[in-house]
Amino acid sequence: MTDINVLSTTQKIFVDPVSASVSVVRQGIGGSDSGGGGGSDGYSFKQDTKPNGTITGQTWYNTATGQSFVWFDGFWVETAPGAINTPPEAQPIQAFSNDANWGAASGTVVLPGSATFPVKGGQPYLFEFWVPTRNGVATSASWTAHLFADGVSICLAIENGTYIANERVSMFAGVVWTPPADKSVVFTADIVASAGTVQMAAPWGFSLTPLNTAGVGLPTYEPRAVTTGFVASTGYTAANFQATVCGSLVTFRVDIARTGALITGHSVTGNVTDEVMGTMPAELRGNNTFIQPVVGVNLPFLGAYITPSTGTIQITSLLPGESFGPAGTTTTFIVMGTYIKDF
Amino acid sequence: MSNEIIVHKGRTNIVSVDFGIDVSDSVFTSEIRSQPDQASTLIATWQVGFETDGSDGIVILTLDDLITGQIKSLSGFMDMKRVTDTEVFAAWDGPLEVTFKGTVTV
Repeated sequence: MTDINVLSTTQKIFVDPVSASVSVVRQGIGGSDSGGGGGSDGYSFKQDTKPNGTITGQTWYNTATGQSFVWFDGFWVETAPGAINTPPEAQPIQAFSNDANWGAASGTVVLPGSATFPVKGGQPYLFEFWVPTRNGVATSASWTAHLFADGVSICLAIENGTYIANERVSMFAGVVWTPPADKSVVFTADIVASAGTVQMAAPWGFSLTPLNTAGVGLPTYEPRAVTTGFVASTGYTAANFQATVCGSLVTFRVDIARTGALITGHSVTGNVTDEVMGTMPAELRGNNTFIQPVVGVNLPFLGAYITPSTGTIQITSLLPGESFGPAGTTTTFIVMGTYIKDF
Repeated sequence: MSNEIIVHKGRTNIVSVDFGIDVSDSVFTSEIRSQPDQASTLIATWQVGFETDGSDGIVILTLDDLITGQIKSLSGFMDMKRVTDTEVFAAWDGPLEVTFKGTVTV
């Protein structure tokens, strides 16, 4: 080739990967017919303001809002979400549930149903996976459930069953998984009975929540109960732990008894040396480092606080002269509180 | 502004095509004919290549100045044929008009 015409070298044909319609864009010397070019992701424009000087069929991805638009008859018209390579980071929480009866398992049963969700490479997602189960005819059973992403197990839920007639057990597991690349992932699940028989005719499902850049999960708003995982510190025992978590809000109660040396409140202020009485389970901790008050609700009185980021509950005060421990005025407090674990 | 391709006679013309999807496994051909049908007179054939490897969806069409210098027509039509795994696809939804423009400088 000898001569290259500058005008013609800037002609571009944009082919919409969805509709196969085309737009020809020319950028001339000293100006532009279109105001922008297209990218390999199918958008003519990717910016946070409305492009100018457009032609019918061009597409614009608003980087500020995550919305997609197509220029039609003089207006930017929003397209259906996901119609033109909507980036996965614009996706909300995605969830799946299947009500089909999967019967009984004395080996491996692939659970009915599957879901295909788009995910973004490098974006961490919190996966929460649930499978209600119960024992079958055996007097004991043990089983494991898996959630698969494109055939690879990413989430594991284990329940060692003890036979109780018609008792239902909700298996639940959570895991953070980061896909290596942008793609649509097919999610499936199975349940494997390693002993006995396990059966259930109830829904299984999962949700995936994109985590923010700080690695903190966006809250899920389905309340759930937590009754295990509370750990009493040396010198204390804990019983009857009950908690409910909804989003970042946790409310709980736990009976804490002092078994160590007697603690006595200051004769005037009631102050005691702060110490950790127990620690909340990991799933009820968050990123909030601000302490929040909890109380002993049975009289006389307990002053205490929780640090949501560590889950520790520390005693701070009693009534003046009140003693806590064996042979004290109080041996056990019913400790209750509500706190915000993520903020 | 209409969807037309302008070809300058006597000049090398380069047009990029953005498919927005990975086309690295495809083979493309493209012709300009006098009418929007295969039976009409062939005016010119684009030389087709990838800008990189096609995974970015970018295909480059080139008409050498030796070819465009011999074009007598004022207009024509073009499209692209995409072949993937022996299947033949239309690259887009219909032929594009082509306008041939004369040039002045020898």
